[in-house]
Amino acid sequence: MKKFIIRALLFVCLFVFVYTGLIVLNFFLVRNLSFQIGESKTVVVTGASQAAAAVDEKLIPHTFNTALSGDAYFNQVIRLRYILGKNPQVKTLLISVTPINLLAESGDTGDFGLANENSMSRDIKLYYPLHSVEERGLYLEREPLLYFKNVLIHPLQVFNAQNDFFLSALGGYRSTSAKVLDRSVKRWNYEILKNRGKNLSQVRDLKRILELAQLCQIKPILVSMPLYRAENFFDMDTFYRVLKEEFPDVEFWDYSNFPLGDDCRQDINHLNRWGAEIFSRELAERMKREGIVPADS
Amino acid sequence: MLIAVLGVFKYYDFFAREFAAAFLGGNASGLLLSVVLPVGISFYTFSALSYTIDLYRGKVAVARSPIDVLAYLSFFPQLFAGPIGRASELCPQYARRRVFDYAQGTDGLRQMLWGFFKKMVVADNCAKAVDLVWADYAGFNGSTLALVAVLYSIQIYCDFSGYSDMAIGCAKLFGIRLSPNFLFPYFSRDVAEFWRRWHISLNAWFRDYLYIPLGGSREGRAKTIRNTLIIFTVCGFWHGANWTFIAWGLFHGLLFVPRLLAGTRKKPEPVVAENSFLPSLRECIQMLTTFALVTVGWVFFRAPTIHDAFAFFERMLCSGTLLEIPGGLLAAGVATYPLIAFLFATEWFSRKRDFALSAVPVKNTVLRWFAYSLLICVIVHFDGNATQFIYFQF
Repeated sequence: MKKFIIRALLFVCLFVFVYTGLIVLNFFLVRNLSFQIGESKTVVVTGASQAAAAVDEKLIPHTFNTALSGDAYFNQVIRLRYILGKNPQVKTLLISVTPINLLAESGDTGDFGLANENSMSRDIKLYYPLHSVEERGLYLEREPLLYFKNVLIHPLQVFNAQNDFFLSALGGYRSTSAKVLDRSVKRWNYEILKNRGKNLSQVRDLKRILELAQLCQIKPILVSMPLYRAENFFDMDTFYRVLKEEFPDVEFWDYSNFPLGDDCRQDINHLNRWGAEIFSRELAERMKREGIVPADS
Repeated sequence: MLIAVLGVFKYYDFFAREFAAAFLGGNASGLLLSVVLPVGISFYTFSALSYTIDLYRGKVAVARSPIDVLAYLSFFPQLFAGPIGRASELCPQYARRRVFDYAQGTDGLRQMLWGFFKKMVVADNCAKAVDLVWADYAGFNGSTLALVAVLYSIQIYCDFSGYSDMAIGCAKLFGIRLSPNFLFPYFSRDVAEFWRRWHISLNAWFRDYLYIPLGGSREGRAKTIRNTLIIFTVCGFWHGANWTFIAWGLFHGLLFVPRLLAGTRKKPEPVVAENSFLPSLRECIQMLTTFALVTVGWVFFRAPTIHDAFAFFERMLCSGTLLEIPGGLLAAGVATYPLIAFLFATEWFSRKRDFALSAVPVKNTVLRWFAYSLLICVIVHFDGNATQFIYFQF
């Protein structure tokens, strides 16, 4: 029994050493990722699933799409801080805005914007090595247990770090052939979608993105992604009012009512691959017209 | 008396509902007891029956202390989902003085570790895809349903055998040796071999206390077939008061019929590819065929109703979508598939032993401990959404 206890204690020591080592290694590995997106990329797109489904960067020259499904602006700030900081060739930032992103049922969705507990777990697991002192402090103040739990329960994150950041966390176009518009029309609760207030944390973090763009001397453009019968299903009046009140000086490209057939839509606020192709070509043409990318590219 | 208790708690409502459906127009509201099923009642009822019958048959001596009997019936590692204890094997162990055995203790910890891996990593991650698709199987294509049927086969194996590994490993720490409950059943070359390797304690129970008293295989072919069908139907019904379990049991019984009719009873073969590293092509085909047949049975087992089971098969086979790319492929998580491959590879290397980690081929202690540490990290990292053990409901 004595031998068993001694060896068990030695094993626990080795285990704690290995476990801690893996978490520390992950922290330093992610902190030192390159975040290089390519010399030719002068335009960065950021946003949540609406932009991930709509902007096919292969059809838009010199553009890098970082949109990621379910990501609040809170996380987009973190990614952009590194991407913009390490890619000085970037000159323009297209920021996806839709009523889903900027409005909320109660208005106040807490400090982390769109995040619920599930997405927050994913966010912490991915982003904790990149959090600033303030961002970490926010988590530790509001969700300390969730924060430590998600740092500690992912000891093998180190093996995923490259994969997560370059295939997942940096975002990008997500092609889908899904056509579930009818189902989504039945599923959404329009009363809630039509009666919304300003999402305070999302507005706060969108302002942080704009400050970051200013700091990096990058031109920000707010782009509203195509929606299905926007005026019928969303509170567009409040949406436009928030944009006008909070971001009066930022250029705004409104594609909310961009004409597309029902076959081009995945659901009421996402395009499928056919819609993405049409919308991306339109976006590319406009960027050429506006001189954001070379006309001959 | 013991069976009456089990009958009231587990089967009364089922028979009341069926009676109401047949004679009262389906209105069973006044007949139902709606009592909560005590966890593990099927398991400890069978353990208690084993003690009573073995005592009657003179296979076990009367326990000198009621503590020994109570310890046998309520030994916590096996209480909820087995392995079903046999009085003749376990009662003598409780009666004698036990001394901690280092080798047995470490072996137990290894077995528990492997059980945790099977349950928390493989079974719980498979459960995510399985539950998602079964909640709305009509909305998925045929290939997704086929994939989910396979994932459920893996889930139920890892869920149940994972629990058994934890129970057996934990018992070893207390100096109690429980008999193995699973011996790599998906490496079986036919259904008979599958049943010698799957839920061994239950099958041995039915064999010794029901099949052999009914006459077993000694009274002609017709009675052997009858006895086999009775055993499997009762086995299905033991799992739960639902026609799906009865169909599952009957399905397995029917799989034996061609073999019994052909009279091709053969001695149990040793483990597959006993003298070689890889199985032959013939053995591969046999194992895949057995796995496919067992997987068909698990659809009945998983389905909420018989109607759902047939609708699942209809959607899978008749919708013309069996060759499409599975839609729910990633619902279980990208890492689940390599982890399933790791599970079966590890079990393949250990197929001649009791459990996969019983002999780790690393002599250096630090390296071996390092490997165990990494396995714990894998369990913590890839832990799926915690789900209850499937067999807790039985």
